[in-house]
Amino acid sequence: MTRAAIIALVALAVVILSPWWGMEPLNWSVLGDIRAHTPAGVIFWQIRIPRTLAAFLAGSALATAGMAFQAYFRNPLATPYTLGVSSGAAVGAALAIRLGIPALVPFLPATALFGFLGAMACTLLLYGLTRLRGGFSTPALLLTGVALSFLLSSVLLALQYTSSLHDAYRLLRWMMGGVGMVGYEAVLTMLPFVVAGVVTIGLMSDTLDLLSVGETTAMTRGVDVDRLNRVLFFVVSLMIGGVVSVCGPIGFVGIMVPHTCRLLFGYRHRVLFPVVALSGGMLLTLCDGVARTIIAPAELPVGVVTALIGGPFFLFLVLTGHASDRPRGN
Amino acid sequence: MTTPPVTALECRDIRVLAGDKAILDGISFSLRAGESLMVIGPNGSGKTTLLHALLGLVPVASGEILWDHCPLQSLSRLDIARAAAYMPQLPECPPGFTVFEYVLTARYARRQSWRGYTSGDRDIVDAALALTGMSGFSRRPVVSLSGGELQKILLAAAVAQETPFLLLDEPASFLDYHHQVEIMALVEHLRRERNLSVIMVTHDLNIPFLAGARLLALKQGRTLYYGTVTELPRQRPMLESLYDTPFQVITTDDAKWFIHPVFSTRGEEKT
Repeated sequence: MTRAAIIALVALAVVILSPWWGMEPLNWSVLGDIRAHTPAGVIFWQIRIPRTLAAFLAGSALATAGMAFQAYFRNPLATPYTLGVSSGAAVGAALAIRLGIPALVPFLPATALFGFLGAMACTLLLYGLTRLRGGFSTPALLLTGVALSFLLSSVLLALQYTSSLHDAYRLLRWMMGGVGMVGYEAVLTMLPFVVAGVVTIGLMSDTLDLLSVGETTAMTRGVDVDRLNRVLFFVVSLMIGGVVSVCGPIGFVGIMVPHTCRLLFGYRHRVLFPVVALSGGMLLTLCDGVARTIIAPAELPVGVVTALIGGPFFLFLVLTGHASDRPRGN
Repeated sequence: MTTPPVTALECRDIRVLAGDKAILDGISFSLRAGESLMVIGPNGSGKTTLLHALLGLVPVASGEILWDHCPLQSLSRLDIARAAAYMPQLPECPPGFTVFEYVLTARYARRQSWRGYTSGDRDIVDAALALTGMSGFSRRPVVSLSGGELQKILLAAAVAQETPFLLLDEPASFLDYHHQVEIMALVEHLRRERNLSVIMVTHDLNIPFLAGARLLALKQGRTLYYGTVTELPRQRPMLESLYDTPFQVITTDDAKWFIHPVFSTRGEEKT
């Protein structure tokens, strides 16, 4: 796949170049200052590199999770963000911050654990509703997502309102979605979640193909759909919980990337998945580059940038009928 | 891949429920590899449910389904997918997939999971498409196909699954006469050539090659008749009670027979 190789090279180039892009111009000498003795060294090694890595990891996870949800719900507008799962993760993580819950598991911040639990709860709710209804049309699915998001947003607002001024500000910034406040610690928090999720979904490529054809077809051709659903929901919740607890809910990456990649690479997940994972990372890294330079010396949260690009994209999909009504059949 | 193909299917007194209502009740039959079964009955008599039960798509409340003497519930989805291919009446139609990609997914149970689909799998898909006369369509999106083309693709997929049993749910229902004859001839060709067992749900009582097959007539989920297709011409009263419609059996000089419902204008019905 030469086109896939090009995507991989471009993604690599974006990751390598991204740390050089910013308000403060840097020159080659910072490469030698790995211990960060100079201000330029600190900016390069302590801020921009972890930030680039965080953006890439988060983008990768969001795009891959979006791809998996679209196969599962057989709907191009289904992503953890549009269906309220990201909000669930956000509420979980915000609860952990608000209540000051200490880390219950070594090396796993309480925000990540609670983010995962929140995402899992929302995913199970969606799954239950889908089962109960015996299928979801696009409008019903999206409205459910909207309702869930509203509900969870008000929980978030309540949490924020009752917080101290400091916590409230921290929550507000984090809820806008950003990769700016992170260091290596945050990258390391996300890493296992993202790697586990992306690898598991990649290994399920052929199965996702069948799932996107239809549930009955998948079963008669050898897919244990119930087990697959459990695995899929678990890893998506894991990824979203991990990413949202660090970066906040960042929208639209999970729609834009899989959709564009499908147009270029077709629908077979074995081909699609690596391209989606790389392009997702690339897109969020680029968006973060824009976010931190466009209104310099201030910066925008990257979630605002993805929403500014992704909102119109989403509308385009709705208006051009790409989001055709395709309920999950049984 | 190394496991020997399934050679027998037995259905012992099965009962399938939807809520409190029995959709199937007391159905029994058995088939060995190469033997076929024709399932007839009015709409809503449980024919499709029977196919679903055999595939483990709906739970069986009592009785047993045995594939090669193994109870269905002890088999994995992969085991079942290697025993029987299913051609549904109403296909699930994936937008975006090309015909080739769609048929390739039928190789799921036969692929080596870590390598994915190999060139061997691709050759089998090409052969299945050639067999159904659909080679020229392999790069077309599935959604662009007509009803008849779609049914041929479904049959190609069932063939590509390479199973000893083929479960067909009204395989020719959307086809014009030309394509009906073509599909039926193809099914018969496969049955003979590969010694397949075909289980076919149909409303067509005049499929000539199924003459040697067993016949299961379902009415309201129960067995009204279990015998062979050969006896069908002598079963006119059974057919009339099955469909609540008068039938007529026409035998030609060369001992072929045709069974047709008798059309009568409203008000002129006679007994």
